[in-house]
Amino acid sequence: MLFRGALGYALFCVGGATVAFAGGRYALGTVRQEEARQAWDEADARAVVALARHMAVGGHLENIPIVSGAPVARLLIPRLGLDEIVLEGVDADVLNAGPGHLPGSAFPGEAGNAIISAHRDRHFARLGEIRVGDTLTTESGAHRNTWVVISKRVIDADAPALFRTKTATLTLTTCWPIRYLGSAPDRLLVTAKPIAQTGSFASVASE
Amino acid sequence: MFRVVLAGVTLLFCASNLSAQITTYVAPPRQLQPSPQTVAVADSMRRDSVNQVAMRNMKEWVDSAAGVSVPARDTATVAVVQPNRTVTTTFSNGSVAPETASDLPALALVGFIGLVVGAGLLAQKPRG
Repeated sequence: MLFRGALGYALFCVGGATVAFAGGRYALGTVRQEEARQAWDEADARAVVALARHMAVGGHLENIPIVSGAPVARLLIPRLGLDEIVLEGVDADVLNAGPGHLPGSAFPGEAGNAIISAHRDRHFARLGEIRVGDTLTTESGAHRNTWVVISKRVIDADAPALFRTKTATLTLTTCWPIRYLGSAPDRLLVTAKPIAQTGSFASVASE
Repeated sequence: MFRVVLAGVTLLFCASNLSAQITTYVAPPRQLQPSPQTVAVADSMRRDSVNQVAMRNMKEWVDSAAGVSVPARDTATVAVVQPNRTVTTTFSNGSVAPETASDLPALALVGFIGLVVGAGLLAQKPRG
């Protein structure tokens, strides 16, 4: 009787603490994503000015030091109902709050490979449903790009996956399989190419 | 009910000791002397496997010397996260995808199961 009670209390307390921790992390991520969404609207104008100033002195966007966790882009996938603010960085705290832009990769709309990663149990939970031919939209500074998905593949987590490109490319990554308990062994890579772009850094710089 | 479960768990943990007390002597199977042909085949197989390992190591050495990043993989441990696994935090050509694996779903599930079982144990009324 005593053993059963002690075991019950122990399981109840440890289980409750674990659920509270996991729930707290999810809740914190949701709050941070909402904060990022509000900050995105406010910072949009400032970002355009900052980009214009930087381009005016002949620099490139990849040289701009951006604080980890700062909102850098907006990603929309209409067919999946996805509308997320992309934050700078791919560490655990950033990915808990939203999709992360891999530092050092191009920004969406720039020449080069723009890489955005997110957790499969949160922001990219439906990324597995995306199909070749689907369209995505990104907003980043003065850019608004429309992309078309050209490939979708699953690779091993330890396999080389990210490569430089000369032309603008968007790569979305998440863990695979989507429904998997524990640390997923593979990665889902979705690659897209731009089909339309409105605005440009050059045009902003000249304004 | 609880006493039965307790007795079962006790038996489970004490089974090896109990069996040591009551198990009768069982004669081990007779060791057969291997024939010279069997020894020769076994030796040949052992040397073949050693050669395969050497070839595999040679390939990894050549890859590493050529600067090709080919991480060693063991198919039996696909789902195990290596402690020294490369974690991509900044972009470089040929890097692996960022670490997006999350243990939160598993943690939440395990915690929920513990919560339910614990609540079930506490809710059971004592007999009598």
